Amino acid sequence: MKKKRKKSTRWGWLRRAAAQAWKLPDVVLRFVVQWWSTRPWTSLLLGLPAIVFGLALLAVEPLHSRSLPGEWARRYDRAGMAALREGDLQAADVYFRRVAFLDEDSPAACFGLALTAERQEDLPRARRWMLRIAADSAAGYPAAHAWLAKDLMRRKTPLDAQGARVLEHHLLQASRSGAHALESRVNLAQLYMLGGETGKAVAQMERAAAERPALQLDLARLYALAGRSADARRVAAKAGEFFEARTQAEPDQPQYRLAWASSLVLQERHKEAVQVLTAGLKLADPEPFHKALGAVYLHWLAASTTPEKPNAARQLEFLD
Amino acid sequence: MSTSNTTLETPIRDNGETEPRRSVLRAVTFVAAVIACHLPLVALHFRHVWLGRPHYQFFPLLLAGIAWLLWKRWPQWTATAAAPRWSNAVLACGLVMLSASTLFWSSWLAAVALVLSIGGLIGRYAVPGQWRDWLPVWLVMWLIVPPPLGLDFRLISWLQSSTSRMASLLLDLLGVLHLMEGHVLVLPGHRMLVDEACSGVNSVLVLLVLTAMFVVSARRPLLWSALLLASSVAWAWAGNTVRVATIAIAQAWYELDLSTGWQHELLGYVTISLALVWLASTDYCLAFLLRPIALRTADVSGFASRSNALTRAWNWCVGADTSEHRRRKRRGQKPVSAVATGGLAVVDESPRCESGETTGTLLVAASRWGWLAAFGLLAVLQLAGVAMIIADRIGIATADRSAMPAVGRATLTPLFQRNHMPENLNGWSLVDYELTERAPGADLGHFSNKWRFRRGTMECLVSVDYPFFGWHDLTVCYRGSGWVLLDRRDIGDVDPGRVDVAYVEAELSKPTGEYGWLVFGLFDQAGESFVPPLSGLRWPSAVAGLRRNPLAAWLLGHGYMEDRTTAYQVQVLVSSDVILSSDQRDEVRRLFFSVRSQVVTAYLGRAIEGEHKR
Repeated sequence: MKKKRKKSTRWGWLRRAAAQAWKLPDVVLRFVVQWWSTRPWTSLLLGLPAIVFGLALLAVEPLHSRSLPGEWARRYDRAGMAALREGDLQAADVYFRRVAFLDEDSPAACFGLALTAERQEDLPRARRWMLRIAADSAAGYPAAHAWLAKDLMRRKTPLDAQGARVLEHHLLQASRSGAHALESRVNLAQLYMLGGETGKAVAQMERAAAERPALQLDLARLYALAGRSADARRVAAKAGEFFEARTQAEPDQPQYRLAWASSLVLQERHKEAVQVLTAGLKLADPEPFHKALGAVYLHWLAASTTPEKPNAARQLEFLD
Repeated sequence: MSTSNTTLETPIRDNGETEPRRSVLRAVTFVAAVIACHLPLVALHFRHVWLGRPHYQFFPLLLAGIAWLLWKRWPQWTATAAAPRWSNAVLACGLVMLSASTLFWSSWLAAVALVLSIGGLIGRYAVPGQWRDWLPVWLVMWLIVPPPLGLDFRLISWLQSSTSRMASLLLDLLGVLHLMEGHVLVLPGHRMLVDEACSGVNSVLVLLVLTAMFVVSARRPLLWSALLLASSVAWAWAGNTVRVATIAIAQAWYELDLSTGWQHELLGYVTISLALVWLASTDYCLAFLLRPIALRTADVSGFASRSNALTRAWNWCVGADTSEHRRRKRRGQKPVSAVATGGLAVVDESPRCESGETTGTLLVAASRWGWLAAFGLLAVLQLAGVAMIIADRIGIATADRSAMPAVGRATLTPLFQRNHMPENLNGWSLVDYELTERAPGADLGHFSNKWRFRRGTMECLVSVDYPFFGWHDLTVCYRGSGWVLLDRRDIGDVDPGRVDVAYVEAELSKPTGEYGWLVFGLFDQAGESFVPPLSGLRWPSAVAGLRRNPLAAWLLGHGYMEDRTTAYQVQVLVSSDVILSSDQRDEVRRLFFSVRSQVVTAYLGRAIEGEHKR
């Protein structure tokens, strides 16, 4: 009996705790009912402005962070570019600066600010901005490299060897970007050609021509300059097909007809070239065709080793 | 705790005056004397607060509020009982603080001492058990003491940044394209210093003080009070956010400039009113949430009407008074048998009076004279210090002050002109000059004389900004306008006394890639350099403290170093696309020294000229 009582004392606290735990839901429920039934509901009504405004203010940050900082930066970048197009340079300046604040690592801000400075006719500042993101000796933002290359090309003073190296660097870096690749490669080809590096020029033009068939003609000319006659004829044939199709599609556009004729000349199909150009004489402005015919006849004469000579009277008429 | 208040026997003395009345008079005199002993340095504290902390200029309102709260929550007093030990301890703390403040000539410590002493005095004379009446008022009194180590300025800076950031997010969501450069809102074609100075943040402190006074006067429970005080800061912050956003929206959508003039003032009042409305609404909201559970039969069913431990816990948490005594006190009922004597109620505290009237009275009197002697000595020392400062100031700067009105007066005129700088200075050529005038007390100074110099590709801004009250940290202003502080070097930080020209060098940058090299320093009315204060959260050294005490400085044979006086700032800023080389920095530094020399010479020359005219 004594042992039993001792046992009950030892575990009594547990029993009491279990009893309390059993009662807990009842206590909580009763508390909730008591709390709910004694609330001053008019106070809640008067407290609504604080609740509504507080919640609205609390929602601002989560709503804003639904868009990543990069997205906000792109939004401001687009707005800056639009402002530039509209000529609102003040707005462009503010928006591009905001891009810098939103995304410090983004070169878009410097690029936009440089374009704004260029539009403000402050070229030194524009160059400084561009050089920050496209250094003369390191890889940077391709669009800025392209801009700096153009800036060098439009200078009136001829480039020295160092200037040419810098231009080559900017063009090479610009060619990494899809948007500027084609133009940069064409410019690189021209730069190499002027420097006598025909091989490099051909390599750049081959890549450019692969993207744009219209450049096949230039490639053919480069092949001819490099002494690769077979390649020149082959590519000129492709160019001829392309320009023939374009001429037929748009017969009033003189440049296609002239290019078609040029590709025929490169293939040494002078007679056909003359026919193509003669047809162009009927167009509104026959002057380019006159000149081109003169050039074709000269070329034909120089290249002629066969009995098939050009019509001397016609040739003289155009050379006059 | 004894709550019985029996009528005190009022023995008639030989001169016919009643003992309680004499006790009351003695108590009132003692209280007035102790408080008066703090006044020299406390007056200096209020002057410093008024001139150096524009965000604290509401303190007269606060003092009036405290007086009103004391009147409203006037506790029962006893003038005859021995003071409780804890009140003596608090009074002793006040005395120690006042001693330290007198020794180190710290007006801030004097303010702390005053509040502690008032606490000790209230505890000395208030009837025990009435702490619920006076403690909240005493806590409100602490608001007259600004946070130490410039924490209030840090808070202001944080609030400004936070407000600007939130307003920027809000504007982004509303589709208002903008740029927030620090605290400067930039819209296409408009640059608005909407958050300049701490005008926006003043409302935070004002609202906080008003809320503190409201919760004390309305006797809100502790939890309720804490939440309401926290919400007051939040609503003031929200009001400022709305203000900034409204200015931007008005400009962007309607081309209305609300950033200056009466429109700006009106907008400020509207937003603070809005904040008050939200605050009142929050009070109702808290009333809904935190009202104690007081059950009435009509309210609940039988199930819910039973006693509940959780309900009791809730009521305890929300500060519900259940005892009859507390309820009576809350209704403001006076104890039944208190005897009103000249506005004071003299009550019998039986445990303390039973020990014998004569011994108790003697002890009280002895203790009172002891306190008075200690506080009186400190008051004499303070007065001596003040007298020495006045004599010193009259000696050194009569001419100077005649030329330069003190800070805060509205009749200031610009002190410098374009010709105060030569066309060529250390190889730098002067290219432009501009005078900027701002509102008196503006963060950047009322006036800025700006010269633009050029040397090769480097262009720099030389500016003299004034007047300031004591040291002005220019890097904070630059950070406020979007610059990021990369590095800072305080020259004169190590050995304050020996540096002829103390100045600060700072390297700044912007996210747009611009770099700034800033050199600035301040000089006082005697043309001497201000030593940059210790940076970071560090208490000043005892030696530096002693140097501020005119009496101690005189006794130790040092010059007296006043840290709070009219100051003039000279700054040189070079903004460039690349970090300056060390040679270029040397050039800028040399320019700063030359400029400072030119400015001080011009300033002192003007002062002497003013004296001659006078």
